[in-house]
Amino acid sequence: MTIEHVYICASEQDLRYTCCCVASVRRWYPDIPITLLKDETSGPYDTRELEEAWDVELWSGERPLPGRGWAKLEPLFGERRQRCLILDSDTVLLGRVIERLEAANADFVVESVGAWEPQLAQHYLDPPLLEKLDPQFRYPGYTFNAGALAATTGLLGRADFEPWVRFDHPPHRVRNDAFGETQTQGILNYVLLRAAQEERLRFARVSFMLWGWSRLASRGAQAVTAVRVADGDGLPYLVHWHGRKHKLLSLQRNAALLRHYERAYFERVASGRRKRIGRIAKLLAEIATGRATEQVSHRYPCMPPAPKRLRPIEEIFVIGTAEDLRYTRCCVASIRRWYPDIPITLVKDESGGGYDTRELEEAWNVRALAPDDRFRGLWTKLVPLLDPTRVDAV
Amino acid sequence: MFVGPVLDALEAADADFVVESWGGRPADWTDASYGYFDLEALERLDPAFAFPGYTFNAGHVVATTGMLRLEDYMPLIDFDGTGRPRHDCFEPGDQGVLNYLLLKKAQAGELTLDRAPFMVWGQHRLPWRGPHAIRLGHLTDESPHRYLIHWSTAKSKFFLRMPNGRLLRHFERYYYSRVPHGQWRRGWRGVGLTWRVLTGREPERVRWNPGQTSRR
Repeated sequence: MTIEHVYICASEQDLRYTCCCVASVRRWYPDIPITLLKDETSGPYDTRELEEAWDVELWSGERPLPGRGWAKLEPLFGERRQRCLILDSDTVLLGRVIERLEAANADFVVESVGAWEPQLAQHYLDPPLLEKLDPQFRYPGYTFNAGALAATTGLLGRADFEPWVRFDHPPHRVRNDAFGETQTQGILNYVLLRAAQEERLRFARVSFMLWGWSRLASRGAQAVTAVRVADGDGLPYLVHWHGRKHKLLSLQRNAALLRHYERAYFERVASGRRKRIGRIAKLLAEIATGRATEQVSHRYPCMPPAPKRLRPIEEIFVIGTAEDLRYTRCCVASIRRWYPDIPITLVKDESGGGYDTRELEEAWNVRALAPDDRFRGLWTKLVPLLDPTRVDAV
Repeated sequence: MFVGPVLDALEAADADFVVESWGGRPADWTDASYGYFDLEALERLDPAFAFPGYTFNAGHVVATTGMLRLEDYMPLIDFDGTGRPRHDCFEPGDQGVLNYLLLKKAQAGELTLDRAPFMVWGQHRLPWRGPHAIRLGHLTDESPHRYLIHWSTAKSKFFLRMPNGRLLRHFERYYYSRVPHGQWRRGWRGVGLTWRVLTGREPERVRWNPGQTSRR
């Protein structure tokens, strides 16, 4: 079955890896359609260079693409049956790997290494817990890394994920304990394994992924070298640098592959060499001056603009003690910056002794409340929670 | 500390309680001293409790008041004696008990509980560039950051010694802008604090409430 399309997940943080990935796909498949699943949940960024020089399209769906890895699922939910390859941006092809995947007679083809058993629950899924939550589920004894998989669209829907995922903006997992610490990998493993168990889809495991962090062979028939990738027939594998990544490619293990594909990428870009040097110099300067982190980071929240106001928040309670009064002042000032009129009540924990908050009350329109002895110390927070005369409050 | 209009996003949730969505990791539920509860011991205490697989930090909760009652807490907390949870399965502070009560009541259908990513840890390194960077100049009415920042670990009384202390200093400046003789008072209080810490009259760290020993 022919793989017709390649989807690549991209975010601004690892755009440099995306460029390498696209260049590697085009090295072996000059004509295959490539679509970027561009995560712009934290703001727009420019990919025109990729689109124009490398013939890459952007995903255009009915709803905006979710961030933090969830975009990977979107192609699966299409109505049309299509065989495709879905890649994380931190992968590069070493050769004509797609033919190997096409040879497997299955709807989904995944890599065959999967989890290291001691870290199964941390990075993938917790089989005993899942078998408890879903008594029909039988763990088949393997998992797969979801950084690259051949998929058939139209076989799975959001409903297959929804008992475990809330497809809000942004999507999030219903449980934190069953599917490891990654956002989508554990849940994708479970849903595919479950569907395969029910024989709703055909599933195959093929050894096509090498780990970017491992020592790749430099000699012999299986040697993975930039020269072989550049001039030879390559190897029918891809390399995946999963996990933490450096923005400075030279610090990555097996960096020669990434540097090779980055060079190839800039060969098609106007003034490519100059741009490449300029961007590396800019990145170095930003890291040196503390304006950028050296590692790719995805730790940020992405609350979208609120579509509508369903439950108004009418009052804010701030719990404070004499010890952290300086923090309390900052907290109140920050609330007033955006909400000048909302009632704020300072619930004073005076278990360590009374303290003066008149300045806060007068200058910042805060009402102070000193609870009775029973609710001092640890339980000051209960005062607003238990007061039945009040309504929604933070 | 707010860094943008976070309430606007929270008001979109149609639930009685809205909590942050990072929560604890499964390892945090194996020992009460890790900030929540010892799940195995809790399930022995309340066999009907079906743990939903997540917890939340209780430093910021959107709540509908009056839905929890003192009677809910009475079996769990020894208000008149030690002032601590009655059972060792809970962490010594309020977080474990509040987690249990809200999860339990949500399970029983007595209230609705939602999770939203509206919090960032203040002790983490926040980005300095790109769309996620929190620039002081962006903390305006149009601030793109719909979340709050929570410094949940041990705190210094000197903002210069805190991770992301520039945000604290920014809002402290803003605080004193409304206080009569604010700049003078700010400077004087800073000098006073430094003097008291240097002479050993006051610890440099913010102390927890008496008896509050949780790692949170």
